[in-house]
Amino acid sequence: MSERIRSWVAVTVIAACAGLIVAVLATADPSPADRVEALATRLKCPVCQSESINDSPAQLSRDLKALIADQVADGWTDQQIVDFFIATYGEEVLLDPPAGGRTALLWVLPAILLVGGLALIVTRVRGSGRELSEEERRRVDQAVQKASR
Amino acid sequence: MIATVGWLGVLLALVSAVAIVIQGVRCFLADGDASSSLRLGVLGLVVGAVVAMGALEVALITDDFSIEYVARNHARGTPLLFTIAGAWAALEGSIVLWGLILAGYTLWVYRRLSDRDRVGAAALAVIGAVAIFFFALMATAANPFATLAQVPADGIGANPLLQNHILMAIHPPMLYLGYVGMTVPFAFAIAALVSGEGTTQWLERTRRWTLVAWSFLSLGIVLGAWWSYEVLGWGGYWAWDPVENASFLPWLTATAFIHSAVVQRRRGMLQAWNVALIIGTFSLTILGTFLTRSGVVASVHSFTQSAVGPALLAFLLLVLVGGFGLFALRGHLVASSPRLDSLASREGVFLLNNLLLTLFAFVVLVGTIYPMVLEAFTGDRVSVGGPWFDRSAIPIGLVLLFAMGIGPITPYRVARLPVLWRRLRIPLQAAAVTAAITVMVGLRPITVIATVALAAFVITGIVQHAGEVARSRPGGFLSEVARLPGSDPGYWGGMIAHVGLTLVAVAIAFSGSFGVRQEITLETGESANFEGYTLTYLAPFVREEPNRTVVGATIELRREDRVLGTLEPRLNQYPNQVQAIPTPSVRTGVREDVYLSLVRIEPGSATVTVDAFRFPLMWLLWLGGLIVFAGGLRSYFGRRRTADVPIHEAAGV
Repeated sequence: MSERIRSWVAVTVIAACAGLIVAVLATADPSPADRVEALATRLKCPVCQSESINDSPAQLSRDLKALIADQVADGWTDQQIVDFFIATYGEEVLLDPPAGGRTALLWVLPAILLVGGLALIVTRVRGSGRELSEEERRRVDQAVQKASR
Repeated sequence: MIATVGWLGVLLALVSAVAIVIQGVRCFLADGDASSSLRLGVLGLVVGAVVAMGALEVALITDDFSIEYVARNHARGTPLLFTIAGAWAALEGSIVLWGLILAGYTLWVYRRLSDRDRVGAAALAVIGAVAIFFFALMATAANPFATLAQVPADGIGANPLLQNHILMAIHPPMLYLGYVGMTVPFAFAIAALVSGEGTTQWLERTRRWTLVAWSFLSLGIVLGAWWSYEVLGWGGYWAWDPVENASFLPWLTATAFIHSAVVQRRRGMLQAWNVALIIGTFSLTILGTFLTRSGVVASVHSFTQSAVGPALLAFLLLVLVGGFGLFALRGHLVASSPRLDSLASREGVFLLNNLLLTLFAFVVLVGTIYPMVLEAFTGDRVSVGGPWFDRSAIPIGLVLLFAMGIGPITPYRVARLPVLWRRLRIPLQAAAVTAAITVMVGLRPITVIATVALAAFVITGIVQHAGEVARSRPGGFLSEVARLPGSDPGYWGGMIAHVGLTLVAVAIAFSGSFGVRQEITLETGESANFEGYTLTYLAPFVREEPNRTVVGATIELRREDRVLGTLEPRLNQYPNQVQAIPTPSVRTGVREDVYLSLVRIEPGSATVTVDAFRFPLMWLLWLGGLIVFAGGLRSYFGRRRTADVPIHEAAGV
C-alpha cells in the first residue's frame, strides 16, 4: 500500500467512526439522570470525614438519602434540597463548594496557575524565533555590505 | 530492659547522623575521599536504626506491656502478622520505620559514591540532617520506648481497621519506601545548589533515585486503594481524603520530574525547574507526614493526636525556607537557557505534561489544605470533596492520557505535520474504532467513551512503535521484541508504566460510571436479585477469635443456574471498640466484582441487611498498578548499553 492510500484509509475510518458515534449519540434517548444519586454525591455525610451521603455506609446517610428521595418525589428542585441541607447542617455539607464567597480562591488560584503556566511556555517558544529589531536589521545590513565590498 | 536497648539504638543513630553531617560537609569542603571517613557514621546509623526497630518488634512479639507503645497498640490476642505490623500501626512506631528506611537509603547512597565524590558527600550530609530530625523526634516527642510505671496485664490493641487485612503489613512499608526515598533526590538537589554543579551526571543520578522512590510510591498508593476497597466496606477505593491526597501529591510532582529530567538530558533545558520540582516533591512528603501524623486532619488514617505536629510543621517550614531560599540564591548556577524551537515537538509535549501535572498537584494541594487554612484563620468550616476534585481531575487526566499517546512518538526539536500524521494515523484509527464500538455496545457517559478511546490510542502507539523498532533490527521479530526493554530501559520502562496507567484509567472510568450499590435485606433461605445475580442468604455464623468476635452471614451467589460461590461478609467486634468493623466479601470476576458489605445482623432474628455492590473491571486497577511499578523498576535497573545508538531514534522515529 502506498503512503497515499494508507492516509486515505485512515481518514475514511476515522471519519466513518466519528459519524457513527455522533449519529448514535444524537439519536439515543437521553437516560433520565438519577437526581437522588447526583444530589447525594454532592452532599457530605454529616458524621463522616470526607465521604458523601451517597458513599457513606453510616445509618444517618442512609436515612438522609431516603429523605432526598422523598423530597425529589415531592417535587422539590435541586436548589431547594441543597438549601434545606445547608440550613440544617451548615455550608460544610457541600462537598463541591461554590465559586464565590469564602471559597472563591479555590477556583481562582488553579485558574491563575493554568494561565500563568501557559503564558510561560508560550514565551519560552517565542524567545528562539523572534524577529530582529530595526536596529539589529540595520547592523546586519551594514555588516553584509561591509563584507561584500 | 528491651526499652533501654531500643532507646540506645535511637541514640546511636542520632549521634551517627550528626557524624554523617559533619563528615559529609568536611569531605565536601576538603574535596577529600568521601568513603573512608563517612563509613563509621553510615554504619552507626544503620545499626542504630536496626536495633531500634528490632527492639520494638521484640517488645511487641514478647507482649512487653511495660512499654507504653506496646500497651496501647498490641494485645495478647493479636495474631502474629498484625503484631509485627503493629510496629507501624501508630505514630511512634511509624517514625521508627521511617528512620529504618532512611538508614537503608543512606547505606545505598553511600555504597554508590564514587572516588572524590564531592556532590555525593554533600548529599549524604543533607540526608544526615534529615535523619537527625527524625531520630531526634524519636528521642523526644515521639518516643516509642517510653515505659509505664504500672504495667497492665494486657494491652489495648491497635485500631481494628489496622488489624483487619494482610495488606496492612505491606502497604505502609511500600508507601514509606516511596515517601522516604524522595529524601535522596532532594539531598542531591541541595548538593547541586550548594556546589553549583547541576551537571548531566547529577541529573542521571537524581533521576534514577527518583525512579526508585516513585516506583514504590506508585505501588504504595495502589496497595492503599486496594486496602481501602477490601477493608473499609463502603465499596470505594479513593475518596480524595486528605491523607490519600498527601500520598498522591509527591507522586504527581515526582512524575513531572521524571519526565522533565528527560528534556534536560536530551535538550539541556529546564535545569532549574527540575531542581525546584525535586525540592517541591520532598516538601510535599513532609507536608504529607504532617497531615497524616499530627492529627490536623481527622480522617481514617490520622489515628493519633500528639506533640509531634508542631515539630513536623517547623521542619516543613525549614525545608521550604531552606530549600527554596537556597534555590532563589543559587538557582542561577544550575539554570539553563536554551529555548524551545517549537511547541510541536517532544519537548513541547513534555512541557504540556509538566504543566498539567503541576496544575493537578496544585489543585489537589489547594483543595486539601484550603478547609484547614480557612478554619485556622477564620473559624469557618467548609468541605472540599469528591465532586470538586473530580471536576479538575477528569479533564486533566484525559489530556494527560492524550499527551501520553502523542509524546513518545513525537520527534525532538520540531515535529512536522506529515511525520506526525504518519506515526499517529494507526493509533488514531484504533481510537476511533474503539470509541465507535464502545458507543455501539451501549456504554454512554462521555468520560468512559473518551477514556477507552484514549487508552486504545496510547497502547496502539506503543505497540506500533515497538513493532517498528523490532523489525528494523537484525534478529527474529519476537526475540527482538523481547529484547526491547533492555535496549533502552529508560524509554521502554516508561512505556510499560504508560500501559499500566492506561489500564488504571480505564478501571477508574468504569468503576466510577457503572458502579452500582443496592441495600438488600434477606430472611434466612430467602433470595434476591441483584444486577443479574441471585443472592441467597444461607445462614448466619459466629466465630470467637482470640482478638475479636466475628459475626457474619453466608450468602450464596448464583448467576442463572450456576453457583458462583458463597460470600461471607462479616462484622468484627473488637474489645477496644464499640462500633463493629465490617469486613466486606468480594468475588472478583473478569467482567466485574460482586462486593457484599454487612450492614446489620441481629443475633436473635433471621434477617440480614447487606450493601451489595457491582464494580466492573476492578482487577484492571490492581494489575495496572503492578505494571506501573514494574515499569518504574525496569527504568531504574536496566542500564542502557552504551554502545547502542538509541534505537528508537536511529530508526527514524
